Amino acid sequence: MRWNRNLAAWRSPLRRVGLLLAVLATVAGRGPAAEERHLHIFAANARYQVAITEREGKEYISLTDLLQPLGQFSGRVDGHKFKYRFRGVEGEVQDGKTQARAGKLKAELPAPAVLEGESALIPLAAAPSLLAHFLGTHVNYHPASRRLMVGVADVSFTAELRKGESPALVLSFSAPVNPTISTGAGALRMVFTREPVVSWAEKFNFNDRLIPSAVYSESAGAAVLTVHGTAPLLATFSNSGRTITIAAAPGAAPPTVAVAPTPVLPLEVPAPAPAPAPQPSLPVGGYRPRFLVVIDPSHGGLDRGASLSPQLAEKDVTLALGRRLRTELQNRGFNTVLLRDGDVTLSPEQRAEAANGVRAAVYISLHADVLGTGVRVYTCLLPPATSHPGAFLPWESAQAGYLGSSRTLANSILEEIAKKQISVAMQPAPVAPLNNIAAAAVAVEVAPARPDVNSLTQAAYQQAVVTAIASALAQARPQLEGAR
Amino acid sequence: MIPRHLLIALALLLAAVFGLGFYVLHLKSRAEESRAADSRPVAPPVSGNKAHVTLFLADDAAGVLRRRDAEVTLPTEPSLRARELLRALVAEYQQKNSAHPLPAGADVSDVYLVNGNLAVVDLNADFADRHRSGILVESLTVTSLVQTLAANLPAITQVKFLVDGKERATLAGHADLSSRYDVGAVRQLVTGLQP
Repeated sequence: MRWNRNLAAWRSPLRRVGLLLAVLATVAGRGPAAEERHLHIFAANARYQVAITEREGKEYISLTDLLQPLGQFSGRVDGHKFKYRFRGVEGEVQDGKTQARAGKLKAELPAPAVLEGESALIPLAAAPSLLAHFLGTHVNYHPASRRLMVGVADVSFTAELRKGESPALVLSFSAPVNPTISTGAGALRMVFTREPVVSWAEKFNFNDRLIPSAVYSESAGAAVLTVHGTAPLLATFSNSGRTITIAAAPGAAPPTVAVAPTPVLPLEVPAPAPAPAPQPSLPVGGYRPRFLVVIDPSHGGLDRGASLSPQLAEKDVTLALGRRLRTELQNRGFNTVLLRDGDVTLSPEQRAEAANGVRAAVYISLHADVLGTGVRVYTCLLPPATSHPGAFLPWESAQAGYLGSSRTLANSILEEIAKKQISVAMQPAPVAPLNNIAAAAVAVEVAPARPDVNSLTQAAYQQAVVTAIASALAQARPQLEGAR
Repeated sequence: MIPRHLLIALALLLAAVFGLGFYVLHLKSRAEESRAADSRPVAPPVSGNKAHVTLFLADDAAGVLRRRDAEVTLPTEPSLRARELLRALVAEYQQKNSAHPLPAGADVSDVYLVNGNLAVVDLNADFADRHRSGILVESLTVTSLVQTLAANLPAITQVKFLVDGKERATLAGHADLSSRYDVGAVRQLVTGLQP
């Protein structure tokens, strides 16, 4: 669908002035002063905003406003305390105190709670951990845009420039999007307020005369993508809202108007997008990055890992699992690298260097243990990146910018292993060298299927685990490629 | 020809010499074992007041951290206070029937507070060298130490671990000791590890 198909309509001067005023009003309304005072929450079953107030220089939000849209909530002021019940769990905060209780958890708030009217105000900084505790899901906070993603997958995108006689920029999103689009002299601006769109790059350079660059930014509840052009640009939607193609407008004067694309998409987070259809175009930079999976059988050589039994070392089980996984992935058409295919000693640093050196898209560290049963999937224990990475990543926190992809992969593995009737759990953990990996990275720890260490070496059990991991990778690949 | 009674006496003497030799070796190995067991701190700090503290104790079987309030004698100097707090935690793990046993001899040698918000925890060699290996057990140890520090010393926002005063890649092959731990991230993890 083309958004400037009614260009003739702009020729009416009165209409142009009216619409220009409407655009200015819209832009003014989206200014920082008006929007900075809200926290924008994207949850699986609700999208809502919570007003932010300031007390003694600190930002606060109403506990009632935060929790009520997410489930059954009731609360009452009792003296200096605010007692509440959310999803059957009781909690309380005290006026002027930093101690708070949520179920059995006693938490320390970053600033004292404030009782106001019939509700309590809690520091904004406490909201992510409080929601993560109550909902038992991952919560991502983007401070720049005050967006809080609660258990929903980020919507990522790729930007590919299709060269040729009439160049076009193809934006492929991992889920349908419905941005507000405005065009002006030299730029086309897309504002995403309905979907949790994220990007790990701030600037895209295309080295093209018509579309030289694009810039990603976040502000006031929105992700903004501004595409710069040397001629008026227009946006076309396709693939059910998952693809936006930006090309030169056919011989018209640059319009200055805000338009809303149709159809209006539902507010619910859509299911993960299937693999985008292959584009007959060159990606940014003129090459398509290969999708390489690095398999890391942990330990080896002098490092035996855990002693699973007097005769069985962790390093032997991880190597067997690694070889099986390599075969399984290669059968599915994945490019794979096995970091060690023998009994050699590698330090965590060498493993990370090797994975980063080959520009891995995915890094899977394999472990084995006798504690418990089933499979445990770990992502790194780093706070999410608060700023977009530049050309160089800090070694100690290289993984921070890839946390979204790593969680996507971990969730996919969790689902596939559960399908095999194997008990499985997922959580962050400080596993070396996950922090240093610049790619989607997980550690998979395989414990016996039942309380019998011998099951760890059984071919059927090992095969079931690696088949599930390979299926998970195939499922998550479109999203992981989109995020790259 | 040596008389028969002399031969018997010689054989008995040789048997006694070998027997005593084995007995001395046995006593020596027992003495070494008890020395290793005695290297853990057994006495509370000589000065300081009793203080209410919160310990986060790991439970391997359940894979959780349990919060427990305790009374510990703590000095007033902040870094000594932090060290004694962690020693109290380690002592809990060295009790019989601990749900997350740490090796005898494991100890926190020192805690240094840098700029008020970074705690550098120096573990002794026994702590790391004799720690059980595995992602879950090592993670539980590390998060238990970090969260216990953070819960009782709220100014701490980062924790760094050393072993015998030196940097070390991992605790026992899995838990990363090369990076600083962000207290906020650990707190979020601990929230999910509550029973």
